[in-house]
Amino acid sequence: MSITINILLVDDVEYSRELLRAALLACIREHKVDIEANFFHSSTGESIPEQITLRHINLVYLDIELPHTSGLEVLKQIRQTEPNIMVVMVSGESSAENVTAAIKSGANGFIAKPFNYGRILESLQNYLNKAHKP
Amino acid sequence: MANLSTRMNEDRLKKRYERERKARQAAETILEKKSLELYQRNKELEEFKENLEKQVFERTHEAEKAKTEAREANLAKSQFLANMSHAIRTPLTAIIGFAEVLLQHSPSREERVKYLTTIIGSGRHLTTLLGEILDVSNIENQKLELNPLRFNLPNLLQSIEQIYVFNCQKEQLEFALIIDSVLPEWIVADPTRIKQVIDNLLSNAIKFTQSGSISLHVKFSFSSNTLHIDVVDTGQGIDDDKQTLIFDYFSQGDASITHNFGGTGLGLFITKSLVELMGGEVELESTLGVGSKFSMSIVCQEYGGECKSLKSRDIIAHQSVIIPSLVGNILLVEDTEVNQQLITLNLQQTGAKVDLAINGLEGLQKALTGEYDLVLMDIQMPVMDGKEAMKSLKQLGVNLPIYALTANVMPSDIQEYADIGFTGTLCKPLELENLYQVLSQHLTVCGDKVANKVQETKLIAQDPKIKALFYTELDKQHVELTENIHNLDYAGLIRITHVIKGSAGSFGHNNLTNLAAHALLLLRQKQYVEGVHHCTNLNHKVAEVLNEYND
Repeated sequence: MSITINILLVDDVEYSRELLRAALLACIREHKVDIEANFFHSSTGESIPEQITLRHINLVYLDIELPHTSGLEVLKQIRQTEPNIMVVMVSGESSAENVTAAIKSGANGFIAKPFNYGRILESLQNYLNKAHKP
Repeated sequence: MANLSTRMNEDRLKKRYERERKARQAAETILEKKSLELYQRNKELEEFKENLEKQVFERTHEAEKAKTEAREANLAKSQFLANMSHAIRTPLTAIIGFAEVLLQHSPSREERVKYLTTIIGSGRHLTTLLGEILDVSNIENQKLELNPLRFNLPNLLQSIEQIYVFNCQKEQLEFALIIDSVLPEWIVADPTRIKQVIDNLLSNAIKFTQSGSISLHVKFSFSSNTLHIDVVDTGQGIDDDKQTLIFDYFSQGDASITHNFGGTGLGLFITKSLVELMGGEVELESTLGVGSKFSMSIVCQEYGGECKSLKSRDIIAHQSVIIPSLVGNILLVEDTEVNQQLITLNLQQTGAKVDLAINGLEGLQKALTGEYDLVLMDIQMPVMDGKEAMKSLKQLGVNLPIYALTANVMPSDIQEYADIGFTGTLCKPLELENLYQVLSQHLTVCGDKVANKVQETKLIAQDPKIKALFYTELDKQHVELTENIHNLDYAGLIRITHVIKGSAGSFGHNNLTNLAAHALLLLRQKQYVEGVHHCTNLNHKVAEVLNEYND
């Protein structure tokens, strides 16, 4: 009995989104993670909370370096309406400022670019562990 | 005719006589029966009466006994309150009295230190007393609960040894910790309560021993999961008829003892109750004028590992250990340069790759970006400490094995680290055996066991480059210590003693580690006067060590 989850990938660079999607799919397939994933994309940080609601998103991978609105700002917006949804921050710049801000704003994960396959798998497993616990 | 009538009369009379005789006989039988019944009833009544009297007597006796008991209980409570208020009043008098003296006169600096020390000591005594009253109340209401957890037994014993070597020295007594059997490395029991009962018996021993020695004997019976602890003193001893009495509360050997020796009179009662709660018992052997021996047994839920003697733990850095051959990446998060180098070298000996982060935040960043099999994280660090970094990693869902690397080895600390999410704790100064065991657990061990190198680990600490670095750092610490002692900068002193405690032992200066540990303990307990005194001693020793090295 696999569970279906809706994953939202927020990144302004198309190949970054595709890379992450491919990595997630590979994780699911190779490690037999019990997930049926549907992917949704957004290339900006605009109206992310609305998208989460409308598309019934379960898991968000959110890039920090977005044009106009930074991913950290988006995370704060998400937390206002969705305190419990799992948000994994993605960043090419794992600076002290970015990491501490992500923690303070309630991120559930932090994946640095270039992607580390193990960390992506870990985020999925964390999601499953969280989802299975009430 | 007349004859006839006479005969008839006679007949009638005869019949009448017969009838009356029978009636009388019947009446006599009935009478006899009734009389018997009456007699029996009377007898029953008498028995009943007797019984009733007996019952009344018994009831009266019971009531009187209950009354006496109530009176005695009441008396005990009054005595308790009287003792208690005396016990509370004595330190309070000292606190108020000395505070007034300080306020009204302008005492010299030395006097000020003396008065303040008394005030702090009295305050601390009050705290202990209140804790004990609470314990007694919980024991009597059967509300006292044990908090069993897995803890390192040899470490607990060593921390007790450290304190009592010092406390006994103050009273010019000898102290010895004697391990009579192989001990398990860890047990599952309530460490706080075990420490409390040992503390109680040892402080009692010190109190009642004018000269000679006090020893703590420990052995573990593996067949019955039982820890046996004896506290032996060469004190004044206890009278035979008082030996059972002293375990009741407020029954020190005699009432004058409280006045002469202080104490609350609750300690032994609590000790006995706690030991019984832990599934064991307390026994006492004592001879007047010769000394006393209190023996306790404590049943543990589980145990594991083996520690043959505490001494071997001290010199383990000089013994050869087998260095495993490992493949993997380790992230070391450590701010002290000496420790960075020393630990890195020890880690690299295994063939593992080591990456270094110099504080919690950098450690957090590196753990997020790199690929590591294991993280070793110091606790006390600038910018972001190890606990904060661990909490953040936990929030971000990082599931790496992360070990706390610390000189804080109290069971409560270790429990706290486990609660935050640390996989385990490695105590400083590092014991290589433990370190390598952790490494082997989380890194890939190379198949060929013959390839395992056996090496004198002493060599690492003798590497001239690291050694030079250690002494350069120690020189700086010496300057800082001097300044901090002068300025009474307690936070600074805590920081430096912490660093020395964690590093000096690895370079053969166990005395510095011990002194620093003791000073640190006192400072953490806010016993600043004694703490600073110890820091001064430590600083002298540091200067000696530096002089020796420079020569």
